Amino acid sequence: MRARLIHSFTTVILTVLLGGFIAATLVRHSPGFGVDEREFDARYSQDSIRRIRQEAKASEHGVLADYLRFLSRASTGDLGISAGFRRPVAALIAERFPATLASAGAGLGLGWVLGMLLALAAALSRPAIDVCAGALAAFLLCLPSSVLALSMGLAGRLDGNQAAAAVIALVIFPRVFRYARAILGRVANAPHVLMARARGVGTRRLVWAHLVRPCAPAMLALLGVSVSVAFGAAIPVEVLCDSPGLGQLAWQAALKRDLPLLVDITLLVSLVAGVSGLAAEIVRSATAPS
Amino acid sequence: MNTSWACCALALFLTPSSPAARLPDPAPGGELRFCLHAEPKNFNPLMVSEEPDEVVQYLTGAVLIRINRQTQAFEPGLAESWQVVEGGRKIEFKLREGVRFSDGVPLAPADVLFSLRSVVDPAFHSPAGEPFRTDKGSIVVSQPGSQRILISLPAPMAGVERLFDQVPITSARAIAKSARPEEVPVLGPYRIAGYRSGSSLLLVRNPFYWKKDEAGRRLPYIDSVRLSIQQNRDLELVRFLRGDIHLINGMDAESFDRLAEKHPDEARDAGRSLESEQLWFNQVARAPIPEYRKEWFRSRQFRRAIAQAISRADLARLVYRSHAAPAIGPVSPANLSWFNAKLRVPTFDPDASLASLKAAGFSMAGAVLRDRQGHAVEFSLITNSGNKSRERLASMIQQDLARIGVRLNVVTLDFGSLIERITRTFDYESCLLGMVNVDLDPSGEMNVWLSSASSHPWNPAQAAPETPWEAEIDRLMCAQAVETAFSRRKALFDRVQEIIVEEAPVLVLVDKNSLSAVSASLENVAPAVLHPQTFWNIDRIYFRGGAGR
Amino acid sequence: MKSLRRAAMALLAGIYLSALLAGWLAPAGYARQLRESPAAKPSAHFWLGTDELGRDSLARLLYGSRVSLSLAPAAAALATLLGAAAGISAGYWGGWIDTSLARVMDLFLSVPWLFFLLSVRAVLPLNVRPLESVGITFLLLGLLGWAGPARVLRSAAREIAGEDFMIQARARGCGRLRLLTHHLLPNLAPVLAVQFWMSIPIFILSEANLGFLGLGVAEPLPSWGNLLAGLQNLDVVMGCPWRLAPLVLLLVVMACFHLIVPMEDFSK
Repeated sequence: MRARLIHSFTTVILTVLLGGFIAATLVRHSPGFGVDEREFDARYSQDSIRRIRQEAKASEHGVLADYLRFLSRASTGDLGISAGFRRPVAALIAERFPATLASAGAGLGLGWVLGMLLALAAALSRPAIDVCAGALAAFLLCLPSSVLALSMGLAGRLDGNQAAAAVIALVIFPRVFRYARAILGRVANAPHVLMARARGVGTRRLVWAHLVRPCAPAMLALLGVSVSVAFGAAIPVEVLCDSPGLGQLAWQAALKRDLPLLVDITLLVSLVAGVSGLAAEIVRSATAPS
Repeated sequence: MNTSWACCALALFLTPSSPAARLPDPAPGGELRFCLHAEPKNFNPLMVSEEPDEVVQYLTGAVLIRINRQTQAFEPGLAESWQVVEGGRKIEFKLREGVRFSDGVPLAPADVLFSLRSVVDPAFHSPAGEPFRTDKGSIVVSQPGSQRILISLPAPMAGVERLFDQVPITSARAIAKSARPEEVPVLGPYRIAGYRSGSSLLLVRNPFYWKKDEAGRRLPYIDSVRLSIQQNRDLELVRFLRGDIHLINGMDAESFDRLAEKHPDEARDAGRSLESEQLWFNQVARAPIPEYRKEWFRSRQFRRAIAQAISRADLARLVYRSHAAPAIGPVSPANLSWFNAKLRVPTFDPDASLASLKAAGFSMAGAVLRDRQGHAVEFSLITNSGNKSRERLASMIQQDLARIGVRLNVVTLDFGSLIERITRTFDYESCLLGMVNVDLDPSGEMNVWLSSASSHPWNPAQAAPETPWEAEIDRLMCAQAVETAFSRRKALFDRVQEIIVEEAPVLVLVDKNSLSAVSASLENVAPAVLHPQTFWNIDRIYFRGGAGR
Repeated sequence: MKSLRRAAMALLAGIYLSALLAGWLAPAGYARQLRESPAAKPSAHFWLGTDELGRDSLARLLYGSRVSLSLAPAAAALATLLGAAAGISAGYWGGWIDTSLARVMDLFLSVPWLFFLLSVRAVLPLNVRPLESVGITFLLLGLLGWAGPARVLRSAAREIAGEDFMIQARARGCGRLRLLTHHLLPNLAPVLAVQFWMSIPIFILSEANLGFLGLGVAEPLPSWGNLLAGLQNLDVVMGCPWRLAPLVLLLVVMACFHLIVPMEDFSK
């Protein structure tokens, strides 16, 4: 088991590193890379523009050489200097990460609570709740997150972080509801649960002992995946809601072709996705019948 | 005539109507809030080049001479007075006494010398220092007496005073602390008190700010300024309507009209600005585009015919909801001193346009215009993506040109890719972009109009002028740069404007209006056309009742 | 439920037919600018009013439907098929195949493929026709969008592969290929269908978001993406509710797919 864990973790790390290298290559060879907006600023003379270009070129080497140099510096905690923001990347990420954590965390929490409560109610034979919640979930699945984000932000009642959290909750809720409804529905119709109800077991005990506990492993596995869904949704949502998190930082970095920042964010996102996927795998393996 | 006296006279003539001169009884206090549209990158005043940084610098910095954004006249700043001598080869400043930085340390002449020497240092790439660095050398600064600074220029320069509006006066101490913005000592009305990346910047009053009002009260009136970082312009308007912010600079026409419907007194249209939308054709010889297309773009008749086929009035009416006007020439009428009033708005006449094209050897085959060799007249227009107004402009131009059988393919690109094409690879055919004349004086546009300049839009960095008319423009621009008599400079630059209109290398389509939103709780805000439009007189703005909402 | 499904199919067919008959239903065309009638309200002449440049909004919606209803489902189908091949292989075969494909999926989901799209656009000639350009964009989106469906299908395939009936079939001597084609794939069909229809709005909106980077549909060709991008001004939209027509149409089409396609939930 331990050997498998180490092996899985190693493959996640290697995947993350490879993802960073691919990202670096794509950015490095994309149109507009290395172009400074000052090159079109009429206040600068030709000499100055030539100097700006030379300075930019001097810091560029081969993609692989630059990437290996970056990794060796990153191992000491130096994540490089953002070309677009002209500040240490570590400081930028440290400043922005809490906002993303807060909005993704709040969105996850809200989405899960809503999804689980409605799924439980639907599973306990509340047909009206089942139909309404099912329709709502289907509606939200149809509705793209960017439209939700625009509505939240422009509704004018919520600030950027709150709007982002609300949108993430609405992205997570339908997925959690539908999955939980399916799992809980199956368990709720199991013979032993029907027997328990027939024998008059209280609702609270029924829910906890006979519904939630048996479904917990499967739901935990979903939790792992929904973490990466939430972080993935945070990126476009933060841009639209103007929430100052990692998503907005990533978008700005993409527009400016900010190589150090993009590579760092790619590594971080891949790590989160890889680790959450791995956690889901571990839970699934631990609870699967042998 | 000494230009500083001319400008002071102009200021005296114009300022009686300026709101800044009529001051009832301003109540101090309150926090002014508005937005920056991008993250500030640099708190080192010598390295400021982008708009958010310039806003912060304007609010925290001070300069020797300030251009009054409303009257466009020069006003004393940290320099009490100045004199241009030797035909524009030297300028001497008398520094104001008793000026202190925000940490209480007095401003010394050594700080001014440091600032002037640093701004021309190539390592900083300061745009404020660019005009002082020429092929004849750089400026020499000295201190001929106590509180006197002398600047010797490598060559006579007309209108040199205007350059000091952009030169930040700072100190070595301040530069050393620029990585920690809250600790930087400043000379302006506010200093930075807090900065949260991606979120906001808090400025509080500089307790040692040198300016006082007519009643002897120390300025600024408002205690603090909070700048929120907000990229989404729609959300910015929502926040203004909610009362979260008090000003919006540079609104688009759609948002302006929405605001005007709800709060007409808060929507301010200051009239024509210095910002225009321009289209030009790629005339670079080595551009990787078909030779027959290069022939079209080099043809004066072709360019003028295209200009004539575009309805500027429709562009201004539909895209900018009449908050713009058809452009007359390369200089907006908002540039009071330099606009050539003899120029007329180019006519919109598709029939005349087609007739010109036929005279130039083009012919209509069905609904398609073809050149002499039979090539269908079709070319691409690149512009930056994400800008709704520009995309609509491109769409309208596409329809206008379709009427004369020209097929225009609109291609939107992200800004980085676009800049790469127009400055490095020249892999484009025509381009539509906005231009802002940040400098009123034509000498500030040498990098645009000189054929050897890198920002010469249609054919930059020419080793020698490739056309006689570009050679003529070069001659005229260089002549006006050293001419000290205003009337002679004006005549020279008027001729440059006429050539641009005649040859049409760049089609100036519309001059946009300066649109802003000003909260009804604010007093003494007088939106101007020069940046920063709404808060150029930040030290004299105050809240009605003192506290703000 | 059956009648509801039939109604949904009829509605969807009607929408597709309207898109095909756009030239007849909205003869003004999507590009013609009637500059004396900008931002007009709905009327007998313009059923959905006009946009800011005086273009018939109904025409733009119908022609836009052609682009989005053909290209987005095509891209979704491509992504789903590629995802199915990878996900089912991983989930069914397991072992090192599963591990390698899972890591490739993670890689694909984390790399910013946006820059690849930008590079491809840079290579294309500037004078390429708008429809060709957007077609290439959707093709690339389909090729790059397989990892999300693959993950879901991998999970579903693993779950079904562990079901009793699969174990029994194996015990009775059913070959792996037969198990795959006769037992696994039919049971995965609902999951495939869900992934397919859930991907369609994602691709429609991706096209709109890519428009911000110059990778969307070029003027004057309309698409649901660029029509939806016009909804950014919620204030304007609330004052002119007919402008919500593209969003309503998107929701109606998605609801129809939802009703037509049998559902199974594998949200993992």
